[in-house]
Order: sequence, then structure tokens, then C-alpha cells
Amino acid sequence: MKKYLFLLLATLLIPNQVLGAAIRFQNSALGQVDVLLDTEGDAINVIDVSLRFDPKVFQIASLGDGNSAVNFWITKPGFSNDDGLVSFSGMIPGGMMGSAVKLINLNFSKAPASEGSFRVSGSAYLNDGSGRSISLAGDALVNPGSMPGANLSDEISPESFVPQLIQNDSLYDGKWALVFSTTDKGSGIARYELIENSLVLGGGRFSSSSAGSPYLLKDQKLASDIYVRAVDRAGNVREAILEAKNKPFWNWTNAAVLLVLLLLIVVAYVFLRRRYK
Amino acid sequence: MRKSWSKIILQLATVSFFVIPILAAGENYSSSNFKVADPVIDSGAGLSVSASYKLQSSVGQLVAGSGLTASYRINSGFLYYVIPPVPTHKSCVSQTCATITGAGTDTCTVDANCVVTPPSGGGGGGGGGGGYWPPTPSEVQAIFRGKAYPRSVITILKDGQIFGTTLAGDDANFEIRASGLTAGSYNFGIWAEDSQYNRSLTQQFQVGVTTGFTTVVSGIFFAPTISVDKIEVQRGQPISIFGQSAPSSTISVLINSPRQLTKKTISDESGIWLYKFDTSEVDYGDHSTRATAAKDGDMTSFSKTAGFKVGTKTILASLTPKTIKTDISGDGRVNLVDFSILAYWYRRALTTPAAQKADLNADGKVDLKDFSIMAYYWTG
Repeated sequence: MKKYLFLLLATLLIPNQVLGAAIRFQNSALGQVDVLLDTEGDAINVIDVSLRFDPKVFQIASLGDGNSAVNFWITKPGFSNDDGLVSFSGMIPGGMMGSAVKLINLNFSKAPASEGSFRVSGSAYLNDGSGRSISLAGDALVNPGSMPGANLSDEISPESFVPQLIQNDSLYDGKWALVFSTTDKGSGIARYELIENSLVLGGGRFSSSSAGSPYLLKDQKLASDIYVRAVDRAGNVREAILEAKNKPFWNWTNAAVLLVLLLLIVVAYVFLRRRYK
Repeated sequence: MRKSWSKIILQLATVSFFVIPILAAGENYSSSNFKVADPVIDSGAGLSVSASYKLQSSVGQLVAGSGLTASYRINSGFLYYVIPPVPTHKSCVSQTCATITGAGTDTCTVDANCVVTPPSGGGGGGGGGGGYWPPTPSEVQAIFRGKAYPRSVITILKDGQIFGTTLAGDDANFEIRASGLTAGSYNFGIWAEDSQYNRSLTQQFQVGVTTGFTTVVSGIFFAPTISVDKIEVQRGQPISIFGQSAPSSTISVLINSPRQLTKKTISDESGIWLYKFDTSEVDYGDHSTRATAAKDGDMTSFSKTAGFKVGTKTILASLTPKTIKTDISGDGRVNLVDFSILAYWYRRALTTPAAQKADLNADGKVDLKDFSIMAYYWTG
């Protein structure tokens, strides 16, 4: 009995989180500060990070996720100078191990002349299929170095991508939805724009200047061409087009061709009639 | 006379009306890298170019179907060219071949260690064929080399999405190229599938690539695949632990129990390995096993874990392929589609279908633990 009691207690006392892994800052060549993850020898596949700073000491001008090891953001990186907070969470499929795994970069508009610190909290999840996590806690030192004044220089469009149609009973009650994702090797993806252009006569056109994935399609008959634009933080654009799955016969192109032909026949008829009258 | 001419003209106009095709374009083609929309069949020398492909027009679409080799795919009538990467070696001096160098015989044996200089012209003629394009000086690429399992399918992921596949040789060696990249940092994941459709763990590499340079990642050695023939075995009876690795590898099989045991065996020419474990060596209860492989001084990381129970009866393991719980969409893959469904339910109240599919660890909510479980089983 004592043996089982001991085992039960031992099980309850096994920590859900084990200490390890760390966040640190590193000035990049562009004068930006990279936020890096040191996995301390573990493979990490999900991170959840909050960075707290004193707004009287630091002010952040912009944030980027170009060249990040994180391929899929669960909570997109964001910051608030009022709250003194930078936060994000994301996924690295297959996991990543390393002492300087790049997560995001920060540009400051205000920073102290000497070293300052950010309070780090959050978790890093182990790539072992169990869902166990490692605590990310402590202070990360920032040396302003060449800050402030880093300029965002990016002339490269986001990576090409292919949106996919999905229909699944666990999403939007089984209605058609669109999923899409890409990365950007410069400044990072700022937003996605989406247009549903109906091919049905009078079907209309719907556009969203800030679409998220998954996206519930307005045209559930799939008779619209869909344009998805990935826009990076420097304004470079990559467009992906998904043609209508169910193209209606009476679409604008066919209607225009038939209209022109009918017009020609009418003109020819009038011409010939006048000529032989 | 004038009237008869006008009749002819009118008849011609009427006939031509019915003959004019409303849609003259061919069927669209697309892949994960490119799309050819409304292709027009002509015999001109038109050329379309993008970062990842070149398309030359052809004279006709005569035969349905497509041809596939390790370096290109051709759909009859419309020619697709994978742009050859920048050679990392000089051309082999001893290599002579009429179809490549323009002198000699019509047959060519290509040395696997030799990068052949492509001809200066474009690809073959209409209806079929193929060819090389000269390398683009500004092309950015990465090459991955290593050992997997004989004749296994190797899949490469770029930033979490499938970028290409290749076949390993009989010796389990493989090489896969990722080209058409832009300079920057990429997450490349590579996984292999053995002859029994068991998937290896994904090996992940963060690779920085630069314009004009080829980044080579070599020495990749996949951990063995592992399975057991029983999910429960009567104590004292043997249990078969088996899988696939590179041929003639030394396989170390670890039995995880209160007292950890290590057993060794050798994989055969097909890379298949088997160890019959005597369960009288361990106590009753749940146990697990995993394996590593070693060959030519190189060693793999640990394989996935296979579990079994030592009890009072024997229950055979199912031979049907296991379904992956993280495959929410049920399409046989764990990819962006499944991530998107999970992301939608993140921190939301779950409906019944969502709770059944998206709550991967069955704790009543979708949180970061579920994403971590999905990332582990990711296939792209």
C-alpha cells in the first residue's frame, strides 16, 4: 500500500514544466535586435513568449518576423508601448534545436544609452509528442548598440504559396473554407488580402483587406475566382490565384463573346439588307 | 451574279460563327510552385519564365498523361522544365556523350558523381521530350544528402510545407535539392517512409541560403523505423521488434522498463531488422522500446517509441496502417489544413465535432499542447 501511495505522490509531483531554454537578444547587422531562443539542447516545436519592458525606458517602433524559425503563428507577434509588452506564440513543425533560433526582431524608437532589460515569461514545448513544456522565465538584457534608427529595407516579395479549399465538419459547420500561409524572408508578413470574384453574371465581388486563415468563403457554390495577396511589412506583394472550382457556363467571358457575335450578325444582316433592297 | 456572291458570303459568315470556338485555351496546369493558366497551343518559340519554372510552347497536345523522372516532369503537349541548379562541381572531363556534348555516340552513361554541363539550347520539340536549361547564375539552392532506408520515399518540407520528394537508392543513400529559393533563412524538414509506410521522425534544419551559393547539408542519417508484432504479450513469450534502417547497420534496441535493457542486431541488405525479445527478462506491466542505428562510424538519434504490455495473454498488433490523431481533416497528412482547423478552435468553446477531432490530448480544450502534439506528427 505504501508503495502505491509513494508512486501516486511521485506522479503528482512530476512537474508539468521543467526549467530550461532561454530567450536572449542580439543586435543584428541591420541595427535591429533579434529575439532568439536558446533551446538548451531540447527540440522545441511551439513557443509562447511575453516580453515586458518599461515604456519609460524603451519604445518600440516596429516588429518583424522575416527569417523567423516559426513557420506558423498561433498568436501573431504584436507589441504595445503603452502596456510595455511584446507577445507572440507560434509553431515550428518538426521542432528546432539550437542556441540562437530566431523568433522575431525589434526596432526601437527609444532606448537607453546603456544596457536595459526585458522580463521574459512563457513556455517552450518539447518536440516529443507529449505536449510537455519548458518554462521561459527570467530577464533578457538588451544592449542598444546601434539603436535607434534602424531602417526596414526589404524588396523581396513573400514566398509563393497555394491556397487550399477545405470542407470539414469540425470547421464552420462543414462549409467551404480557404486556408493559406506563406513566409517572407525580409520584413515578415504583415497581412493577407482576399478577393472573391464571382463568375456568375451579377454574382458580384467581395474583398477583404485583412483576411485570416481559415477563411469562410462567401461564395459557397465555389463559382468565384479567389485572389489571395500576401503583403509583407515593407509593402511587397505575392499573389496566389485559385480558379473557381465550379465555373458557370454563363460567365462574363462567354457572355461577352456571344454578345459580340450577335452584334456582328445584326450588323451583317442590316448591311446586306440595305445593299440588296 | 451579285446576289449569288452575297449568298456565299452570308453562308460563310454563318458557318464561321459556329466554327469559332468560344474557348480556345487548353486545360490549366498547376503545381505547388507554378500554374499555367489558359495555355495556347502554338509552334512558336514563346517562353514563359518565373522564379521556379520555364515553359516553352509546343506544337500540340497529342497524348494524355505525363512522364516523370528525378529531375523533371512532362505533361505531353506542354513542357515543364525544372531549372537545373548551379553545378557545384566541374564537369567530368572523361564524360563524352553526343546528346550532351555534341560529339561521340548516341548513348550516354552518366557518372553519378559528375555534374553534366547542360547544352545551351532549350528543350525538345512538340508533344513530348524534355531537356535542360542553362543554369541561372543567380539561383539559390540547398542540397541535402544522407542515409534513409533502401528505396524509401524522402519528402522535403520548406517552411513546413511539402517542397518535393525523391527516392533513396538501394544503398539507402539519397540526395535532394531545394532550388528556386530566394536568399534568406529557411526551415527545411526531411522525413522518410519505409517499405511498410512507416514514417521516420522529421529531421529539421534551419538553413541560411545566399544568392550564387549552394548550401550543402550532408551526413543526414535517419533513425530506424520501429514496430512490434504484439500490443500485449504473455510473460515468457517472445515479442518481435522490427523495422527498417540502412543496410548492414548495427541496430541498438532499448527496452524501457524499470531496468533498461539494450539489445543489438544487424539489418539485412534491404535494411530490414528484427529482434525477438524474451519477455521473461522484464516484469509484468507496460513497457516501451526504441532503437538507434550505427553504420560506418555514424549514428542516428533515437527512433519513435513503440509500446507493448507484458501480461497474462497475447494480443497481436494490427497490421493496418495506424491513423494519426493529429490528421484532423482525415486526408492522410498533417499539414496546413489541420493547423488551420486547430488555430480556429484555439481558445474557443468546442463544439462536439471539434472536441472529437481538434482536441488532440482530450483535455476539453484546444491549447498550445495540442499544437505541440500536431507539430511532432507534422508531414507537410
